[in-house]
Order: sequence, then C-alpha cells, then structure tokens
Amino acid sequence: MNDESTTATTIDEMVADLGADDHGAARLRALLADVGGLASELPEPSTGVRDLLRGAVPFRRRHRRVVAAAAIGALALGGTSAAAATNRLPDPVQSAVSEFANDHLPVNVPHPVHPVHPVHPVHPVHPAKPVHPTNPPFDAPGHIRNKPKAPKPVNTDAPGQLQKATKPDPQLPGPARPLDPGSFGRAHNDKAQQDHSGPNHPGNPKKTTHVDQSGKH
Amino acid sequence: MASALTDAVVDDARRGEAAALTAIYESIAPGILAYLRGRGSWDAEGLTQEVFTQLLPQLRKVSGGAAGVKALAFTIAHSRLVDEFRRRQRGPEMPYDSELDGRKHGSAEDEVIRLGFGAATALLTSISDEQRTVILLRILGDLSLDETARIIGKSVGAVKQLQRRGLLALREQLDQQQARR
Repeated sequence: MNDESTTATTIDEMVADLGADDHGAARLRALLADVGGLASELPEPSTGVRDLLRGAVPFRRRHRRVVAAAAIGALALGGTSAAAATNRLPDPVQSAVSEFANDHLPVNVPHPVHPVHPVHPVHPVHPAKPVHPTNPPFDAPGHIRNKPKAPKPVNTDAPGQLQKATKPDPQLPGPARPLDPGSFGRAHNDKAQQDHSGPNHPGNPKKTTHVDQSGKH
Repeated sequence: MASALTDAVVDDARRGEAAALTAIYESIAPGILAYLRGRGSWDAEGLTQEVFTQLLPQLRKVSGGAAGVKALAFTIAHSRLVDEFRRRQRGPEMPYDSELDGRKHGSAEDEVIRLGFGAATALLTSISDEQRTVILLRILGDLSLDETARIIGKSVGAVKQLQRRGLLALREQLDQQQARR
C-alpha cells in the first residue's frame, strides 16, 4: 500500500496530469518523492494505543449511549412521577397519569382539579326499556349542568316504540314526544295530534305565516 | 517508507490478532504523523495517538479492506486537525512582540528545515493550505482523487484543480530556484 512503488505511481499520475514532461517535471517529481519520504518516522505508541494493539477491547461508545439513554429516561420518569404526585401536570396529562397509576400501580396519584373525562358514566343506558324522559333535578347528585346527552340507542322494532327524529330541523316541527299508547290513553293521543298540527307544522297552511323582517307582508 | 498494508492483514486485525494490529499501526502511523506535521499541527504526535485510539476499535465495521482502513485513518486525522485549528481560533490572540520572542529560528521554513523535514517540504508552505492538504493526502496517504475529495469534503473536480494549481506553483518555485543558481 503505502510503499515506495505505489507512492511513485501516485506521483507519476500527479505530474502527468500537468501535461508536460520536461526538466521542470523531473524536479517536481523529485520534490514530491522527498515529501513522500517524510513518512519514515514511526511514532511511539501511547499506553492506550498499546493496549489496543494487544487486542484489548475498549468500552464501546454504543454502550455508553445506552447507559446515557437509560439515565435520561429514568430522570424523565422520575420527574413526571414527582410532578404527578403533587398535581402539577397539565390537566389532560395529570388525568392520564392518575388513571394509569391508580389502575396499575400501588400508588395514589391525585386527579386534576378539572377532570377532562368523567370518571363514571352519569346516565347508564338501558336500550330495551321504554323511554320515559325524567330529568333529575339540578340538585340531584351526579347531575352535570349543560352536559349534552349521549344519544340513546333506539330499538325501532320493539312494540310500542316510536321512531324519534335524531336531528331536529329548525324548519320542521320538533321531534314527537315518546308515546306509550297503553299508558297514556286517548286524551294524550289527541294532544299529540294537536302538536302535529301546530303553527309550525307544514301540513297546517292556515297558521303558517311568514314574517318579513322589514315589516311588509 | 512504511511497509505495505494488505487486505489479509486487515482481516487478521479484525479478528483481534495483535501482530496484524501492530502491522496496521506501523504501516499507517508514519504517514499520519507526517501529514499532521506537514499541515502545521502543534501536537502531531498526540493527534496521531488519538487517531489510532479512534480507529482501532472500529476496524470490524470498516469496509474496503486495507484501502478503506487507510482512508478512514486519514479522515480521522483530518478531522482532528480541523478541531485543533478551531481550538486555536477560539484561543486568546496575543499581539506579537519581538522582544518577548525567545525563538532562535525566525521563519516557519527555517523551522521545518531545522526539524529535518528538508528544504523540499519548506516549499510546500508557499502554496495555499488547501493545495498543500491535497498534495499531502495524495502522497503520504497514497489516496486516490476520490478518497481525497471525500476526506476534505470537496468534489473530485475541485480536488483535481487544487492539485494541479499546487503542483504548478511548486514547479514555478523550483524553476525560480534553478534560475538563481
């Protein structure tokens, strides 16, 4: 490799690239050969290099990286745990950490002050039961004001079950009230029919009026 | 001149054979030391040891046989030298005061000659640093244009131009010396 013949070949290539082979090129070739002759002093190996030359395997950098990564991970985990124990994490993170810790770990981590997700369902769903909407009073335990209800599954094949409009259109009458003919009786049915023929029902043109905002009819 | 380094020796060194590892050191270390000195390192011997401290544990991962090991060694040496130059730039600069200068030799060329590098090497200080880098890597490392380009982070064409201009400048200096005689 780095012996005289290959170095001479390299020098010849370099000088030949100049495109001239005269006395100047010969002097240049001699100069470059002198430069190549500088690589004649063998430095004394240091203690570390001497160990490596004996075949000693050093503590590899990859292992150091793994150790460093493990240390960083442990610090991050410890910091998160400490912050969660003192309820200092942001609410979503605090909620997630507290749920995980309370479920899987033998420690009790406080929930956030404003929970992101309710811990227990407020209204259990009974899809097979006939629907009698009875809202609990606002003071009832477990009631959340202005909380949108989850749509309850409706079994339209069940006897006596009326189909409800799931999405009320402001131009159309509101959804029909849940009826149970067996329990409400005739008077209730009449009232329901009146509701269907109310002022906003499209089938009652007499009572349908269009109010012009400008005051003209 | 160092002995030749073969692919078989590199294979033995990968298996951890001490004789092969020593052969690699004896083959490459003189060129590394000369390169670092020729580029003006203040601690060429120390950097040479750092190069092998980094090179030898990586032998199993090096591809390309003996040429690959040699190219990697000079790549490490070049990087260490750049680091040294950067450290120097970050250091405090002292204004030159000739009365405080206790050196016996006035110029870098004289110093090179005093250290036994020869008058020929002193000529290398007259060309640009990049030109000197290319010429030293090609001769001392016996590296190809492609390997040299990869080490210094330039294109092959740029390296070829640097080499050509450096050699032309050296030849012009030699012609001027000849004319003065």
